Amino acid sequence: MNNWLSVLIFLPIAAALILLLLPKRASNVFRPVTIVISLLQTLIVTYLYTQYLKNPQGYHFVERADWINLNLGTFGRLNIDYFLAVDGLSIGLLLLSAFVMFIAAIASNEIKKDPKAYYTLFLLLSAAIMGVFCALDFFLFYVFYELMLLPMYFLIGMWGGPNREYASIKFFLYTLFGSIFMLLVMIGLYFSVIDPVTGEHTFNMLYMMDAANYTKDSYFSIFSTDALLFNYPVRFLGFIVLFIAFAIKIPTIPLHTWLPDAHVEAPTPVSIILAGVLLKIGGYGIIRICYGIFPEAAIYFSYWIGLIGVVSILYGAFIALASTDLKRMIAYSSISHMGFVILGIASLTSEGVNGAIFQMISHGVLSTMLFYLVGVIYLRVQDREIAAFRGLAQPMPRYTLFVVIAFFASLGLPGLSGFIGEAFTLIGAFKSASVNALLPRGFAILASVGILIGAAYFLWTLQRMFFGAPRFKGAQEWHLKLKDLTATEYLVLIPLALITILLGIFPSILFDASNNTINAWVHETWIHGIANLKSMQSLLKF
Amino acid sequence: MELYQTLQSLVTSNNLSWKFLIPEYSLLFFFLLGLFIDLFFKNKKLLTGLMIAGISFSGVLTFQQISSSIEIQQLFNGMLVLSNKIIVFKLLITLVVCLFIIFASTDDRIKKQNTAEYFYLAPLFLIALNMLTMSAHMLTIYLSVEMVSLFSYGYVALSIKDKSNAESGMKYILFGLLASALLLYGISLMYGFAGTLSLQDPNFLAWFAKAPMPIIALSIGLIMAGFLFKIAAAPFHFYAPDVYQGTSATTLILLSVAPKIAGYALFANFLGFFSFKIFNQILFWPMYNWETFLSVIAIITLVIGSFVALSQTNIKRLMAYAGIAQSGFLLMGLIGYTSIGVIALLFYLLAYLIMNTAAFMLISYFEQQHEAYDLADYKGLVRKSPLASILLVVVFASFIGLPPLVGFTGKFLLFSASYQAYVASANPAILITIITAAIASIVSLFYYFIIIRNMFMQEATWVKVNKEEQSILYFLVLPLILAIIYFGILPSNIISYIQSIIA
Repeated sequence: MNNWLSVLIFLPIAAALILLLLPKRASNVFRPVTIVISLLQTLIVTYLYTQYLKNPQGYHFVERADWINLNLGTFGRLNIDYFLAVDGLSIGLLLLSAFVMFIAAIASNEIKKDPKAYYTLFLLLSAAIMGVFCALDFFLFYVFYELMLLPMYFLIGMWGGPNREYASIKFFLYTLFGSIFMLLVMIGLYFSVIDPVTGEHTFNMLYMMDAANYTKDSYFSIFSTDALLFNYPVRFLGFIVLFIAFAIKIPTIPLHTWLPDAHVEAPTPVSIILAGVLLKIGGYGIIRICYGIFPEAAIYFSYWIGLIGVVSILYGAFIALASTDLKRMIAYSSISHMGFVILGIASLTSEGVNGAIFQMISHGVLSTMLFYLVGVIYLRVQDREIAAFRGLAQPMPRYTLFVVIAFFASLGLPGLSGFIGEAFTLIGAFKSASVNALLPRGFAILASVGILIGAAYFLWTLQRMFFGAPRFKGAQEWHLKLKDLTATEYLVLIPLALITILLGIFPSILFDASNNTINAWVHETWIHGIANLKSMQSLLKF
Repeated sequence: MELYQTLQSLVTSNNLSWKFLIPEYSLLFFFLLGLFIDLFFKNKKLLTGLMIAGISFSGVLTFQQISSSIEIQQLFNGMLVLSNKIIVFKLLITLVVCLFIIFASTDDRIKKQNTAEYFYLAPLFLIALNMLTMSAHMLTIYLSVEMVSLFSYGYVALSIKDKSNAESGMKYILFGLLASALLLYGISLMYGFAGTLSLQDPNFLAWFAKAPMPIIALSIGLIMAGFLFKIAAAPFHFYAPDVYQGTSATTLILLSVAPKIAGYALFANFLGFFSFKIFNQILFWPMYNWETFLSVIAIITLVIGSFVALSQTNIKRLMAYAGIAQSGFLLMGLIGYTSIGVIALLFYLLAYLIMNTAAFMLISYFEQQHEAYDLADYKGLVRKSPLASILLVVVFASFIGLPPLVGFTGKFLLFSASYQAYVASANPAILITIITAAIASIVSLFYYFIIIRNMFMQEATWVKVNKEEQSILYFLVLPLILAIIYFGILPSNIISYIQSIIA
């Protein structure tokens, strides 16, 4: 069977349709069905992952079919392919997504209102996420990318906290702002790129990555002599637009303000999906699309991209330090951790980009764990102010153990997964100065300061909330409510903790899959980028 | 002798022309039949059934007119023209009118008013709209614009219930009169200098181009005013919000789309006859560049429509402004007047027709079932009508242009067409239009989702539970929603078909 990726995408859609047809009374079926479907997805991706490791290079599980094929007379044909495949860049993220969705499905036991609508949207979201990581046709990618918005909007808006309306529309507006302009660049690229086999325009991302496929005088061609817009090379503008779209998703400073709101208002499972999967789409998009299609702009702007990464690391960490709400603190720590991803990518070294992918996956697991842990106490006392708790370790010792693992992993303790990701991105950033001279060494040093602040806020929170004599805002009532973990909670937390430790000790589990692809990618981005840059500079004289 | 030959040629050509109007005769026949039945039988069911049958029948007849050649048929010495492109426009309009009548026959409010005219005027209205799409001579253009306006006034008047709403009917008429006066004045100026009213006259452009520049600008500007009124584009959009607010949503199914489609057909034909590429070359006057002109209109329309929609509190006013913004999107198909532009325009009109019809059916449904008129009335509606609410979400998502719905595919084609026009001419106005349209899409998310937020995320402010009549949702709205999804995912067949017959 060779259409596993389609199965991955359409399995949840089929399940969603079945759920829609079930009567509302069958409310106790919805969650089990969703759990089974996401478990199946996880198993399929695990199988694909092991298959991929047998020959970890190039594109695997390729599926390609005509989707929209129109003859537009003098304008040639409009070709949109249903083109799916995975490589070392996406297979790890795909595995992460399936796993996080599985955990989120289990964690959805707190959802009591409208289970039918909730799980239908959940499954639809799952399908879109799988599609985003598999699509290699830009149009198809865009469709899945936008398909995530509507379910996410309702998941935050209908099951969220008191300020959910504001948070959900803010999330929607920010993302749509990025993606509408992405659509314009996508159209521009389409009319510039020619499929070398058929000679027609194409949305195929792989063709967009090769400068030879651009028609000579098109706006996005590197050989064009007049591709300037407002006296600026069109390709650079295209890069900036795409970068902004994905930077909103990651999110980086200054486009991050939707994230804390969304996290604070979203229910626990939705926060888990948001932090565990959706942010990664931003990083994935930058690597695959921004850097893949516009390597010269990536090199040209690498200093600024690295700077954005460093500022995100520091800014996120400082705000996390000042946060009084535990969930908000974790949301800002996400921004800080995703800053490492940007920094790693900007370094354009094998270590940096491998580290960025590792960091994304590690952060996916850790943020899932962190948000779930916040959900555990929020479910018990409907409060998550850091100041409201003291000495939590006494009534909830086992819970505290998991918190300690998650916190230490996040602050970068060697032996746990967070360390590997951060260390590799830092090595990459540091090495960049001597290898390709894209980033100054100061960036790596500043980023290490970010780790230091990270250690500060995690340890400080640990000290404030968990140690000392128990004293809670809700006094005696809370003492009764704050019971230790339940069976379901163990079911969620144990695998997450194990994976964190496993990845910390055997990082090669992930590097084996990504390494070949990334090495080739770094090499090609560099070679093409420099060549394109030279050609553009001589033709456009900017 | 010469006179005799001329007369004879007139007669023979007329003999030829008559048969191209068969759909219109059948509509006329059904109108008379409806009048007759209303006078002698007073049977509403029979009347509506006949009207639905008649309009569908005319649709079939129109469909059969699709010819294998793409040539433009000259009818009545060039007073009217018929081509496959025009037939597609006519089919779209027929579809709207048909859906409208079917839905209207289920509306209890219309039944209570005992207005049979509401139904038997529909075929007549359709004739007027068809004439408008076929007009190729300034006289027929003027006549059919007037005819369409008259029936529009009639429909507004028929659905007005109380006196406060009479204001909207009055506004409509006054604005309509102003627009047609401007149109007429523009036509007479043009006639004075071109010496002919026929747009197809070979000498028309040459003579007209000799007129002084300000006169050309004035006369075309005045004619455009008349057109812009019909498609509810800025700056001739002022009537729309008031008219929408005062009219029942059922009537708006017809009035919000049908004249607009006919208006775009007329606009497209007019630009085609004007062959404005040549026009630009003859005049070589940068200010009178069609692309710039249409771009500016589109930009103003998009900005006004989307930003004013943000502050509305009445659902129909909001839809009116949203409709104005949609007009701006449609104009993008005409900029540059490329073949892909016309296809994008036709496809988006189809998409717009489906979305808009479904939207107003649902709004009318909420009016009838829950007396929801203001945005505040939509609070918590999902608890009362879950199915209708979810259907409305799909419609609005499609309006915004979220994939994989038909609105996205349509906007994608429009953006592509504009991009092509921009590449061809490097006219910065087109680029600004594209960017404005992108921003308008984002803004549209905001105003459509005010409604969705009210429906899904807020609690109802009043409690009144009517027994839900859901069959209309299953039989009429659900198929439209499925069409929105189907044409969104698989647009190839329909576009290929349109493409194959018009080019």
